[in-house]
Amino acid sequence: MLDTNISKGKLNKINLNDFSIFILSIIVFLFLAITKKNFANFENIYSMIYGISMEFFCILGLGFLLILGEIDLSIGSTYGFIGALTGYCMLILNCSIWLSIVLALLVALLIGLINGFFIVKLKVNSIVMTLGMMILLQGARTAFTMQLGGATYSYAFRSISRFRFRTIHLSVLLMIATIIILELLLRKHMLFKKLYYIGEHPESSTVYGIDSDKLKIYFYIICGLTAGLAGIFSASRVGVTMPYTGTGLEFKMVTAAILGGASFFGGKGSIMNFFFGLFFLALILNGMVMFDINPDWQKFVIGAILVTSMAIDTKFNKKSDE
Amino acid sequence: MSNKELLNLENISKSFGVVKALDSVSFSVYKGEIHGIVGENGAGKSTLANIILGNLYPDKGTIIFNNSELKTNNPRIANELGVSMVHQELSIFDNLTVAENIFPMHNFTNKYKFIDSKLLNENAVEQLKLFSLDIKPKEKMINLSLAEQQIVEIIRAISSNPKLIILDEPTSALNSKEVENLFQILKQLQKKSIVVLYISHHLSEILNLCNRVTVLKDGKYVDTLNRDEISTEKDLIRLMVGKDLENLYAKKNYYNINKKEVFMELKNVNRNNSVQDVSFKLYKNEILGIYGLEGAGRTELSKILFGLDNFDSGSIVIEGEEVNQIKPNEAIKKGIIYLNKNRKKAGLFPGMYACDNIICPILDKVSSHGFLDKNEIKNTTEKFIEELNIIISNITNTPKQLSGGNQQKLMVATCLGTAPKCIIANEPTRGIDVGSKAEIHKILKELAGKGASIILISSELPETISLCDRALVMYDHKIVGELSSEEITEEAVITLATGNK
Repeated sequence: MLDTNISKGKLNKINLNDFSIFILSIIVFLFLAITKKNFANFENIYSMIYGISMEFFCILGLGFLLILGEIDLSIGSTYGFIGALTGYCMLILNCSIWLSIVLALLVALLIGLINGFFIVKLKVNSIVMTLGMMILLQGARTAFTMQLGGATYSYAFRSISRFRFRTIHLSVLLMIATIIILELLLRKHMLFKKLYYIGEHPESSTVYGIDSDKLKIYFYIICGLTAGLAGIFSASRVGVTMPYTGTGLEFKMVTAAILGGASFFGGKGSIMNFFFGLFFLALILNGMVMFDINPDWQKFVIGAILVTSMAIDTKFNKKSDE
Repeated sequence: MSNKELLNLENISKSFGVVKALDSVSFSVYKGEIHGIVGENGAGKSTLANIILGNLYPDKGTIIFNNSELKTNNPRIANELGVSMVHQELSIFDNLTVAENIFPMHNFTNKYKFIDSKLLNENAVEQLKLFSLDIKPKEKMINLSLAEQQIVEIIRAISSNPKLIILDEPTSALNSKEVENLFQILKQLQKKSIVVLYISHHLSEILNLCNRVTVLKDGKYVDTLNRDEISTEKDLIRLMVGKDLENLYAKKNYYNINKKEVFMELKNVNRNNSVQDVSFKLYKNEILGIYGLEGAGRTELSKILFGLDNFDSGSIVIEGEEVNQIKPNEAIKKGIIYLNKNRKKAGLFPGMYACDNIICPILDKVSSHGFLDKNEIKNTTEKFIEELNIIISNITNTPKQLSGGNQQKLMVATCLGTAPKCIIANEPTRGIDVGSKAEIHKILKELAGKGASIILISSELPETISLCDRALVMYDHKIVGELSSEEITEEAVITLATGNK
């Protein structure tokens, strides 16, 4: 009796939940394509994807941390601060472009390390810790951008984000490659599997010999680096860093990640779906523009989506103690 | 009901899932007495206390308190009727003052509904004076010693003028001088005609203090004795242990222990007061029982062996190699695995597939070049499902979808996947059905037969007796005795575990 039952066991079971954000995106996409003539043309869609590719690296590190059951709310201000710091190195300290980028990324790494150290070793609550880091970096970013006085970055730096293979931008290509590679690793590789174990049940993973402290620190560092990288791309695209660059970005990213199946209770999420979470938000914001809705309402909409998806997440994913 | 009885329990039953915590328990508590309740772990003492207090509602039976039926699962109502309790775990407000801790529910307010701290402190001083205690009412609770905190809790319990006060293991944190003080206080209460229900593992205390003693065993009522009917602690032990259950467990197979092959040796291991000066050898091919009553230090010891906790001094030698502060992943590499005592707290991933659960400690064994091998995962999982007879419809079922017994077997399967040389099994069969229990016993015996070392920590004495080749008994954080397989009897174990030589 048992044997026949087990033989039905398949590992690649299709779970409809994994596709909900994809299906949701398609619905919104079709709605906009039908109602607005100038929506479904290549230019508009590509510029949306290009826009996403700037922010994509920001969600990458955050997504890993959410799988681990942790969070980083300082990514938005890391994004702004690292952009400003790169500009500061280039324009004020007269460093070369590549030296500036390397220095800025080293600082991003340090930010991640500090977050990780405080949260893992000193057991500071991760929301409070990274909120503190957010405020701190917002201050630093504003101070640096004031020094820059709105100066535009050099043509060579600006052309990094404009570099194309045929028609596709470097950042879009990088994003596609990253999605494919990381999605594969997350599903198949034992190291990445450990992230899900830790997120699902930290105490159980300790009992079975998974060193969650070490992995958490690593991924805080990676989160700092990817947020910094996104910040550099965006600085190159815009050509200037403003005192408000990156403000509020962390909440947009958290919203997209939760839409993409991550849970505040850990153990869930996939890179592919994080991309679709971003894509869904971009569609909504793009649609608002198409329908001439005042952009001041954008934050309202993101907030409303965040609250709704959090309610759904809590309803379905909250772990009961008993 | 005659006039001398304050509390009358009639046929009280309470089950948690398949476990019968209380089975038709009936007895009476008289006015003006200190009434002891004794029994092994799991005899149902705490469940009984929680039912009287209104924290739990009995499945069957009636409670007559002070001539009227007590029928509530609201502790507040029981409290208003005159029942209060001091729990084993202190429930105090660290950062509030002593006075505020004594009167958390009383409103000493002035006419504007602001707290009148003068009135509050005066009342506290009055209560403290009754026990001639030198504690200031304005002192923060956290600055008090554990014993003083406990006494404040007792004062809180009697400040509502109860007719009955229940104390659950009140002396576990106290030294002998403080125990003496507590007894003085309890005898004062008795003079004020407050009835005390005293639950304890420490039989000497029971004999010192109580007028009558009720013995529970496996959720059943055994007997109530007057103090003068008990001559020594042995009389109580005999009742706690009973005779009827001894034949329920199959007689063990004796393995030929090769006493030359030591797997692990502990020398004078200490951890800040929770484990003191522990030394023993663990041989291959044996099931070694570690028995102790709640709080004796057995779980703490098991955590040290697997590296879940550090030790302060002493040494641990595993297969001839000394290890310092081993970590769980290193312990697994050395062939040790830990079967956790409470699968709800740790040991399973409730929302993940059964196959993901099983491969967790052996990720490297089911992958090649770091990439997980789907077929290997499927084969490994199915092998263990069959071996342990886990009832499951698909390897992508999650533990949440399984029964308690099957969850436990899945956890055992996860541990066995590492092909362990040593299993530290902490309560491996707690709260599961008889069939699953027997299967887990069989697996443990087979493993020992194949050369593994097994440490069995069980609160169930019959389990320890039937499975173990040797047993160490802990009392007060120390190992107080070693019993060979011929010497392990309930009486011998309980005698050692209650601090008697």
